[in-house]
Amino acid sequence: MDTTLELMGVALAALLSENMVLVTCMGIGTHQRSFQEPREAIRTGACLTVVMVLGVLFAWPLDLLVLSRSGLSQFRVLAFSLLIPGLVALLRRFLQMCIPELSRRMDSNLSSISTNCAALGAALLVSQRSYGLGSALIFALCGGIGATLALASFASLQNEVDLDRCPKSFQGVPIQLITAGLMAMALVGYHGLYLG
Amino acid sequence: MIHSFFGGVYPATRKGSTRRKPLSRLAQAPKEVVIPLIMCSDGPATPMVRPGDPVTVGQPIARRGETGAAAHASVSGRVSAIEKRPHPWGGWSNAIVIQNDDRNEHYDGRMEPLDPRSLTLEQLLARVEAAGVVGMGGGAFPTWEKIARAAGRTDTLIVNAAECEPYVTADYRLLLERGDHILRGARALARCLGSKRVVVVTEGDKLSAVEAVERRLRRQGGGQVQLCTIRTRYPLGAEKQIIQTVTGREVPPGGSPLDVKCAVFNVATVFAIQDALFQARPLINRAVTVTGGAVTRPRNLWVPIGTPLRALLDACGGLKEEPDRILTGGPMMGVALQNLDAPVMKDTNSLICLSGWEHKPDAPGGVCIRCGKCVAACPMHLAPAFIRRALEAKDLDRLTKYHVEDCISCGCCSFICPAQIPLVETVAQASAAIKRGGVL
Amino acid sequence: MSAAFSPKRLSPQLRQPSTTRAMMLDMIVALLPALGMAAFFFGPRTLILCAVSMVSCVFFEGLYRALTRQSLTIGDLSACVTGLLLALSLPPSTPYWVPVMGGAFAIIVVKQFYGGMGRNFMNPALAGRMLAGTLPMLMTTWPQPLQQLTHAAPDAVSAATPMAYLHEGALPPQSLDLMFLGERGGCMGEVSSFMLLLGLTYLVLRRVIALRIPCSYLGTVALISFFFPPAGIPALTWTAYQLMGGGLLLGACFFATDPATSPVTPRGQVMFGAGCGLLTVLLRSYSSYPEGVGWAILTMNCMVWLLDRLGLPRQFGAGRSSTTRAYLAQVRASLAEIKFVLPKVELRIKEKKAGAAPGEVYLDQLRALAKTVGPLAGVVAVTCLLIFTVHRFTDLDTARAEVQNQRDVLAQAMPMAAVGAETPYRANGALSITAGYDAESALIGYCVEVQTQGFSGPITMTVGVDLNGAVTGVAVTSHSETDRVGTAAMTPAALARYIGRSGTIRSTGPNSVDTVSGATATSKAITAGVNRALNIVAHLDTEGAINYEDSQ
Repeated sequence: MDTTLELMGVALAALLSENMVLVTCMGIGTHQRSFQEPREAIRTGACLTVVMVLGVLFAWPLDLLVLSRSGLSQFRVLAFSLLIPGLVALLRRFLQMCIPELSRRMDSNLSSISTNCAALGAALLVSQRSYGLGSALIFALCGGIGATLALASFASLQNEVDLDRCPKSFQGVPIQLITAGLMAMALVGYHGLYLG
Repeated sequence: MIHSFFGGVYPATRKGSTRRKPLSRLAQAPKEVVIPLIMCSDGPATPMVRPGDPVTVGQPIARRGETGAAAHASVSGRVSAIEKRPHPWGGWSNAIVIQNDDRNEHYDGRMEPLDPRSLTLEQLLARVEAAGVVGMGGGAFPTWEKIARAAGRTDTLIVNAAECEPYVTADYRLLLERGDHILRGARALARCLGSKRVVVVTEGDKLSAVEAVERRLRRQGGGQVQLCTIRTRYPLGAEKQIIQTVTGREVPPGGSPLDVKCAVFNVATVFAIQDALFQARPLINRAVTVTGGAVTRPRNLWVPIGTPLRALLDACGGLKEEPDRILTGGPMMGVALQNLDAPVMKDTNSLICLSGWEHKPDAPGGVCIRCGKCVAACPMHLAPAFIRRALEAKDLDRLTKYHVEDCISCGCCSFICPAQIPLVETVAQASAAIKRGGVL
Repeated sequence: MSAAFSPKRLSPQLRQPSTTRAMMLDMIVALLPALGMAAFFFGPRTLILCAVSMVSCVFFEGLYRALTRQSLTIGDLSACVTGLLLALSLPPSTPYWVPVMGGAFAIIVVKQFYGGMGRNFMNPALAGRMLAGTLPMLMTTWPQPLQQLTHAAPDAVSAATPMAYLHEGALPPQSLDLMFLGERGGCMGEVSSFMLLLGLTYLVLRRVIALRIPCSYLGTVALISFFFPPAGIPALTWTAYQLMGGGLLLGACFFATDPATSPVTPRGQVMFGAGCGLLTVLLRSYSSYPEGVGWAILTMNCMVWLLDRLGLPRQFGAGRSSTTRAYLAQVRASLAEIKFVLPKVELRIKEKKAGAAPGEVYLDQLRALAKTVGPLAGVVAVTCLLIFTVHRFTDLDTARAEVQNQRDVLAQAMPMAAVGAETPYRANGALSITAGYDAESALIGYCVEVQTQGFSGPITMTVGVDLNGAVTGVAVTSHSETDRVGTAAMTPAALARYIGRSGTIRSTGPNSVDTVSGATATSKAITAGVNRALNIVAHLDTEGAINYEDSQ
């Protein structure tokens, strides 16, 4: 059974030393608006968290009960990459039919993360590292929260810091990448963080 | 119990040159007295005399409009003209000019002094209105209107003798020399307003005034009057801050002191009220501090209202060097004077001639380094650094979230900014932009 | 109220005397005692390093501003302060090119690319320092104090800094007063706590910085250290060592208080200090790097916007929790619009078109479905087929490779064994236990697979222990250490040092294996793994694992 220390270690790892956006760069596959405005960033991050948790919730038993038992673990990537976009599509449909107001606000964010690598990555990592269910869920939840914080920080920096004061050849995407790189450098110190 | 207010700065007080000088009259009465028709922040008064009419000291010469205050002649003589004259608030405006004939005849239509024991609110209002008393601490709001609004709605009356502006000592000397009268006036005012508590507030470095007032209080048996000595911090004398310090209550945004059941009166106004009630004298004189590094003999003067400021300066020996700036009203919130021929108004408490070493030259604003000193210094809990950034980014939505309308223009932010950014103007600009609905 | 005449107001005619330039000068003056002490302890090399750093920072700032045709801002002395801070945070034996590189990065990328002083979001000196810190070999040699380092020879006797001891959970050998004065190893500026406190006092008296950030930072670290000391160490001593050890005082007083990169609002500043303190304690206790102050401050620098928003003072007169209440009301109003709606499910059967056969409607629907889903199903089928065939063709090879791998591991862990067989024994901490048999099928010993935490992640190794409790070999099966840095501790020559050891292997003293220089954490991890394997074999319970009774 997962001890509290193990769970905390997994949580901290997903938040800091393996941040999905800044360190492992898995969660950056969303539309550009979520990097520009804080509100969009928080919405996309929330959607990402929900999708990651749901994805792990479905992928973990799938892997444990179906794929590993029958020796078909080579189909893991294929199975997950069908499962997770399917989950996102189902979720979008459900929101459209049942909670239309939420769908109106979040649909573009949800659609932008349908093929986000963080969701697939969380499921794969959890299976590869043989986490228990508790650790897996904590990993997905904190990974999503870490991605949200990173996206929101980045978007707010864009608002607060005037990014047009660099040389002309750096304006636009290059200075954004430099900013992201500086933020990622701040997380280098958590590399190898291990509780216990 | 003394509370405290957030923020504030500690400018050098520089009151040493005039603190010990008693209030003295002008050696030579002014040859001509200019009484502007715009005396208070409400509408202008209507003149009751015509050029050529003789006037005596204390004679009413202008009637108040719908709102506003009456004006009285402060010297005896003849009205020479009603024409445009320089106004201390800037520009030129209509004023009654009286040529002084040095005979000092008093008006014979004076009212009787009232009995303090049988004073009623109606009598008080009628007298105060007839005497033309306005707020003498810089607001120049008609006092009768203020008392009428506050009657029955206050439980604390605050007499504001906390002269927090550097250089100015007029209120201090007044409290020191006329403490008895002021206490009597405060008690009468409190009884008519229905306030249970009267607090006289002075700053902590005015030890002798504090001791003197305390002695008087003990002699008269104290009663409901309380003396509060508070450590010097600018802007202690601002209305909202003094209420917060004395009672701990905060005036709600967009509200007035009456919303927290307090009334604040400047000590000179209280003196003028008791003059009107118990000496039957209208408001025709006031205390003015003439000081600054460029003045030969800085002093506190007791002058007739309408005296040209140049006469005050001459009475102090004139200027000993070229002044960098001449101000009225204190260096933090005061107005730079354009024309020394402007007269002393009812709310002019000082004439300050700053020399070069006292007044820092206006440097162009530097780059904001986000040190946060302005946010820590603002007594109204504003964030001038953010307001400046939002204005620079022309972002109106962000600006509206920063409560710009709460600004009292005390100047703490501009004072403390190490990059010398003109923050007071920036906040005023932001406020104008919000009213306009867009940033240019 | 008619505004008949509103008097013109100008800004106050008085200003407090200091300017930005004066603030920077005060910072330099406050750092001079620490610099002097460093020069006393470490020799003239410190002064030359500081000079190189300051000159290069000023040069790069001037160069950048001139090349981009902007106004020269060298006069506001902020580049000098950056250079001085950068130099003081480096160990005294750094080569001269390190502050130059750090300075270039700090000034050009971190500061000027965002618009210069007051507009950067990350502390430039700290970013330059941390960039140098990520270079592996640089930050591992710490000269001891009171050796006069000449300007040319960076070689000096180096030893573990107090921070290295604290990272392990042990008290360093220096006494508290030596720590306070500064006779210990470490970065140039951080050694002397006394001088740093002098500098802080000067800054506070001159009203350059407010005490909020240093107090909340140091207070948080002190509080957490006081309540969670390691076993066997008095809480107060531990707290004192934590406060004076490492770059905490330098970071809290000079790096975290940088005005441009710390929050503007007073409450935000307190939260910033507390967050830095929390992260510092976390990093000091659990991360691979011994010092966490720089990383903590850098991380909080990225969060300053959030703290500023949270820390905005409430509106005057609006009540104590007015901002919270307003925010909650806003959130509630926003959420109230979201309602659950029961879906309307209808079965829509398409009507027949005129002149069509009865089942054709369904055929049309099927055709449409096939058009959308068909290609996807085709791709999935093809992929499945591919994976299946590849797996089919290679799984034999995979199995063979795995068996070969196991044999290699066995050969390295227990060279005298001919055959290894997995045992069903279970022990706490062992991933698997394999028994090794020689050519005559006699049990030689056990190969235990253990996992320990190295510098960058877990290291899995197989340790062979013979029946006398001595190590026969160590084989590392998986790791994520840095190539050529951490792997120096995993070379066959390094691993061969463990052969023949038994009992508990320490890092110093009797029965010790020295850590490979430059790969301390990895060496310690391997030693810990070997110790665990030895312990497991010594207490291996072979009795109750296998049931030899016949089944009825």
